[in-house]
Amino acid sequence: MKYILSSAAAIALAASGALAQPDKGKGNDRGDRGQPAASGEKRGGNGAARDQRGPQHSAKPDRREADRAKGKAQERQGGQSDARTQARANERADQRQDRRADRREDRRDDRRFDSRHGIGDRIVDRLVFRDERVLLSRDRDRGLIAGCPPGLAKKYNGCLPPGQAKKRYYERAVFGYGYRPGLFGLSYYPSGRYFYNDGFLLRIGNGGSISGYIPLLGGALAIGNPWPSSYRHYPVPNYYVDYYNLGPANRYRYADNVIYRVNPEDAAILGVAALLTGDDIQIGHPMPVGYDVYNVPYAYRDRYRDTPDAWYRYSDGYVYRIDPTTQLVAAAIDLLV
Amino acid sequence: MSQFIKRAFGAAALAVLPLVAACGQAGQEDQSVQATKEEKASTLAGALNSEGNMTKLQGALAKSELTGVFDGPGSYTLLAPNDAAFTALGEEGEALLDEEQHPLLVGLLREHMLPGHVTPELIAEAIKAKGGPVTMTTLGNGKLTFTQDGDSISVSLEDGTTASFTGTPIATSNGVLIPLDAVLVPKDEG
Repeated sequence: MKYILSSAAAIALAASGALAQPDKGKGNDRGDRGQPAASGEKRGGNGAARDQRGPQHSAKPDRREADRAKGKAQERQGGQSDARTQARANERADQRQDRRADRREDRRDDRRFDSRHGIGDRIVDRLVFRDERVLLSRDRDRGLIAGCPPGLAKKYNGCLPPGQAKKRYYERAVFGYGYRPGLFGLSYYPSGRYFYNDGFLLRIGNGGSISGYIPLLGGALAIGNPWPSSYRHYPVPNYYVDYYNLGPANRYRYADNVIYRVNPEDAAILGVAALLTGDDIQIGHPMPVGYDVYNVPYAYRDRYRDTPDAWYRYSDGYVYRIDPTTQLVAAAIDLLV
Repeated sequence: MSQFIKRAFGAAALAVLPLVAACGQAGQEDQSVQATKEEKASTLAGALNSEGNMTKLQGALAKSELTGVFDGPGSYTLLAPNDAAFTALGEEGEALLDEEQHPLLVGLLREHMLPGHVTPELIAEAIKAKGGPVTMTTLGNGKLTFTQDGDSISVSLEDGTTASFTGTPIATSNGVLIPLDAVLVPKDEG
């Protein structure tokens, strides 16, 4: 019971700090997305995170700062078409990641030690959390890949418009309705006229020709297939690297709310490490629609149980503390303890 | 504080009681919600594979690259259509299980997945607390609405079809398996 009281007090402290800063939601604005790393480094919010987490964390490497630096590096990679440049950058990121991975084992030992001694909740500093959200939200700005999938163009002697190759393209899904990105769990693509073929969703542009495409999980992105080089992927926060056991940056790909495991040698897809809701949850803002039911993972249910003073909901690796009175998200808690 | 917690546990027990009572009366075909069986030594993938009347879903998942998700560190709740549910889809169900349609099948299964550890008992509690239907986001592109009618709970896909809980839910170390009597299918957007 003392533990619950002390946890609640710690959460309340963090929540009061969060709620006292009503402008924090601006991290969600599109204008912020272009500079996630720079803004995070200037703020240096990790010191506050360590303070909140208690002295046991002070000796640990600052992985979130490293994460932002890595994100910045990979963001630069994202806009470059030169494969060799990207390969060199990947190599550097991998080396950094490998070094962090070595230290990560130590951190896991620390966590087990902390857990045995009943150390309190891991409330994420709100600025650090915002930076992580910004890093993840870059995936929302993606568009379709322009043109026609290279494999299809080769297979069909050039990528014929659907009207000229009727039997090769599906215009209606199994249940009789038109294909659309939402049928495949895809949220951020424009509406329009879509066809399905060979594991790709194809968008028909003006004039009836194929204007763009999306590789699909279970199709072009099935296990064993190489990662399509034109399908943009992004780094995830280092917290996710730890939580989902992703390993170095060349062993995973994050795109369209799916984290894939890939072979570092040839980028062949090995499987799906995690599916994310992609819900944009911000501290100090209301929880998005769709979290009416208590859903904290089994291992954390004793620690984060709903009370009249605090509700807890899980999403994409975090437990969120919600103020029942204001219905606002008061704190984000990571689950590595 | 302790009184709060006692009251919370008391409320939880009250909410669960009808479900447990229903368990004793319910046959396999009964749509009364059965009490969740705890298999904390198992993973969601393990629980799914041990189910005898979900061979079609097992086959679909084995082909759909999602098995790693159910065996991994993340926590998910899978609303799992039983074999009868796939059979009821007829030719469309067969087509859906065809290799060429795997992306559509995966997309459909993502609409059957919730983030975290959600049991029918917790859904019933939430419905009671809210005084009406409750909504949960999915790992796909939609939302699910849960409604209670007596001892049964039904689930509807946003702009889609409805199914009922059936059989015994299983709570594992990394998620929950809740059997459904129908596949949730989105409707045409026109």
